Amino acid sequence: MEGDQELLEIVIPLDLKYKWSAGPHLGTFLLGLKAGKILANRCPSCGRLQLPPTPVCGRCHIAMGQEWVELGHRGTVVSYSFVAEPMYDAGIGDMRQVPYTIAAVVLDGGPDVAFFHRLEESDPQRVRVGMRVEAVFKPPEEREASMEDILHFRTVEP
Amino acid sequence: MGEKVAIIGLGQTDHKYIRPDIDHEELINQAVRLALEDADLTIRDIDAVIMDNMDLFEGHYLADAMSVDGAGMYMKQGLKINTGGTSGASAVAAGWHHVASGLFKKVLVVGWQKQDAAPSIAALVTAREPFYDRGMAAGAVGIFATMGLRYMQESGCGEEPAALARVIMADNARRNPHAHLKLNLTVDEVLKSRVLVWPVRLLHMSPTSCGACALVLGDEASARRSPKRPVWIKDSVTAHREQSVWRGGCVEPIPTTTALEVAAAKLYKRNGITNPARDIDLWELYTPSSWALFSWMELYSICDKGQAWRLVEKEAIRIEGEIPIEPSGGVVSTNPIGASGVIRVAEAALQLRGEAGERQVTKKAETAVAAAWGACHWIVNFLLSRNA
Repeated sequence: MEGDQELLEIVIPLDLKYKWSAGPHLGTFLLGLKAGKILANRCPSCGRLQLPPTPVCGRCHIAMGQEWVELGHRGTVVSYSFVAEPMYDAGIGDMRQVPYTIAAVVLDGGPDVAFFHRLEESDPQRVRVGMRVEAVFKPPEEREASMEDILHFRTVEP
Repeated sequence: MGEKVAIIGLGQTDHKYIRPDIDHEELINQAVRLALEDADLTIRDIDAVIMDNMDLFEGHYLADAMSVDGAGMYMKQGLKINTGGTSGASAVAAGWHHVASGLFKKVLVVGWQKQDAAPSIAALVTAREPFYDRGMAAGAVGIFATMGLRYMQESGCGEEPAALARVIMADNARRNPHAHLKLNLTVDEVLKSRVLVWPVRLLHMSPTSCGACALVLGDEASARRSPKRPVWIKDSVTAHREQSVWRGGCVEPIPTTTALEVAAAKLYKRNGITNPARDIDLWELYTPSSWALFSWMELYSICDKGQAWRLVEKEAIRIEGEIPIEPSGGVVSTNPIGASGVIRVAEAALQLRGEAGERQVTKKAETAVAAAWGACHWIVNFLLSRNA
């Protein structure tokens, strides 16, 4: 069996559709996007915000309750990167379009949380930590209660 | 602290990009046999077997169900573990817990991955929240890019030191017969490789590898009878951060850094380590990208914040240097992910035995830190010593 034996392989396609539940907290956040709002929730114990909203504060291990805080559409970039390499996207079952810029943005009104989205700006020379950006929402009739209701964040000239 | 625990046997396969010549059970079995031979034991001497890999990378559930015999689990106690990138280290920690409890005298730990089955990114991105960040997250590459960019801006480090770090790890890998990528690189070649996610270039990222690594852990009595010099697991710390990278709204450059720093500080405090660069002789830190190395060095307090790239520039991290890091060539050279955490411990143990061959560090090696890191926010570290 050593040496010149033919090596056998088969290809196994896996094409399954899964359902995923948002639950009430993330659901409120997503419905907020549809209404043009970015909502965080506040821990009733330590007072910190959660974005996206979560049902439990990991640090206090208590239920997050229903104190909702609407954050500003403008914020400050705290980190970013430029995605150049095409990669498989399990969300769509196909290769994802590149290039795009991703960033963590601390929105006005929520200094202890960062929001994760794309930047419109794709020139590495023009993106920096500390730059001011603003969320660009899709027109209301095109929104679907998803992160894609925000097109991207555009640069706000200082 | 429980019973004393030593590494009394270790073995690993040669790690490669594709292994069409072998199935995963045989891959596992090769590492298991090597570790048992090294310990001069048979599977009958083993009380429990801990196995790990990254679920879904090979496209099947309950990977252990198809490899019980190869792992030597038949009719034994044991567990299958998956904690993402740290799976291998979590398996070693579980083995350590078993022996330290006094209920088990000899425990076999085996980690493995056969990444030639499918693009691992497809399984990896399912760790992200489908509503929130799965559609944008760029996998591990994106995390290291974010880390690298932030590091450049805060420390004044340019692209060259990261490229040099990659060259040094490649030089180390060429001295490790088991390493996957044994590249002969120059800084210039690294800087010319294509950008995946800026500033991470292709050569900055770990490969996808097939391989397995096994350890035999023993109690003090087993260690005293061991033919090889036992290497003692003095302590281990695991820390978790919140789930998913951005959930919880982290404003840190990369959230796992908190867990890594907290776990390192706890390990040092519990063991009287006040000056890690002086008190630890070598490091196997699990560096999946050369851009991670600087952050790791600073979070493990090997140097002050913003200074790691200068130590790399001085080449202090080389095998012959004052602070040898990743003498094996590291994860950036070899990454059968489920095995990678076990390999860190095995490579550090080989160094402390003085059996690391061409990759043996020049300085006297009495203590080492081995660790693993995962984007799902686990961190696991180990303090290893030649002395009980």
